[in-house]
Amino acid sequence: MSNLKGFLRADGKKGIRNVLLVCYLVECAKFVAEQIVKEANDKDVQLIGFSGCFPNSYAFDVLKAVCTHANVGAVLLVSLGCESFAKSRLEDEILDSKREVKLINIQENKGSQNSISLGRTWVLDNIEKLKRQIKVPMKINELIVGTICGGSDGTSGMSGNPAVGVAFDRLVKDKARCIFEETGELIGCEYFMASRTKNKTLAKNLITCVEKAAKYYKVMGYGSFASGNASGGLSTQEEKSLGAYAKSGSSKISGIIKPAQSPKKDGLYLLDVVPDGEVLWGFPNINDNSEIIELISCGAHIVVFVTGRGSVVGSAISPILKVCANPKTYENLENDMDINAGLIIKGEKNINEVGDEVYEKILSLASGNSSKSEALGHQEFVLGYKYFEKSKTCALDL
Amino acid sequence: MEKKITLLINEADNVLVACQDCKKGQYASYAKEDILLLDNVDLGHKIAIKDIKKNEKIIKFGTSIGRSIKDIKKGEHVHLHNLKSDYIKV
Repeated sequence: MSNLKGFLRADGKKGIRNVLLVCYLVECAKFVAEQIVKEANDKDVQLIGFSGCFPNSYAFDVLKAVCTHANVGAVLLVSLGCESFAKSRLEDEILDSKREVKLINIQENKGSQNSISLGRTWVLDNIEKLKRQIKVPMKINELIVGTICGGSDGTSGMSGNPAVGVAFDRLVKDKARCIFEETGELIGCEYFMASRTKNKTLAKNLITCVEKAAKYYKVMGYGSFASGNASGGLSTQEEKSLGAYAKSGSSKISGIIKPAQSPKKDGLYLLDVVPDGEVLWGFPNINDNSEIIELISCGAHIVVFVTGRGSVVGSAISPILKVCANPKTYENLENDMDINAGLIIKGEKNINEVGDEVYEKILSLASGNSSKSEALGHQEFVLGYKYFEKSKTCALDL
Repeated sequence: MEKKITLLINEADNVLVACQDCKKGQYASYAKEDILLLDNVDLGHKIAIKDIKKNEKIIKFGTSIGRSIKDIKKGEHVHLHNLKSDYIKV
């Protein structure tokens, strides 16, 4: 079995990293936050934040979720002062989670230079404390793992996604919590997904959820099936979406969650990333990192990222495990890729073998080893505006 | 005979996926057998693993990706010309 170890938090959750976040609460405070991170010069001191000045409950919920994420040990909040963000409420939430937190208000602290100096002192003091924290044993069933695909090509659905599906099936069997997402890419397989749950309400909600995505993307001017898909060998809408869906494996779906909601028990969950209500917010996710952050806001300790064309991104807070579906891309970008699923295309390995490799790599990351993007220093973070109806609670299959 | 690498994604599938560009007359090779190719089939495209009757489900990823609109022979290219979607658009 595994010998996972994690950092125990007050709520009983365990993290596989012990990150100190420096979080700006409006773009105007970003420079100060960035300087504090630069001067700390430590891979565990990471920059995140929210650019907008107008308040948004989704952005608040996501920042609250990531600031109290199991991989996070302490948080420095950097505020300009006059932005609308509910900074004291966020500070209180972090305090309630028994993490060290400090709020620096730039306007009340003599501006940039003094705020940077205050922040640096606090960060250096607290990162030392975090480094002294001793790890405790952790089990696979305490892990939350997310998956996405980005920079996809024809090979993604042939090798990378089915291999990750094999790993996800093993994790679900181990009673871990697994999350897949991007309902916009699942248009065409909603009825198949619905057939994979025993709960009728959940089946209905899965279909509604994909229909919402289809309508949203239609208004945005994008259909899901493009002519390039057909020349790559994909014949139907359902074939394309099943290729994306393959990374979730073949386990029963236990429920639907929304950003900043953590799965309450083990199983496979669909993350609904498309905003509720009118199409007001532009594209549901403007890039892969905004999807990654939503998975992390749902508690993901690790995000498995399948790419065919070759994405090089990583993330703040949680390690990104990159599975490269295309053998040519792997040769070109080997230093950015953790797993070569392209060997399936070359006939040198089968889907199950690569799936087992992904599974082992997940456990290795959870034991403290670094992924390629992590070692390179990738710490991307993206958070924009969205709206979700709170009354529309997720249909958990209890 | 020239063998080309192909992939059976799920045991239940009735199509293979080409991992290389394949020519008519070559053999599509996967774990279980080598199938004589009746068409040119490019990387990422599908090949019938057995004779498929008109209106049968085409199975890939272990589930239906649509239906055959004509009889398809083992070794034939399976694509827009002989397969149609069952999906009703929103």
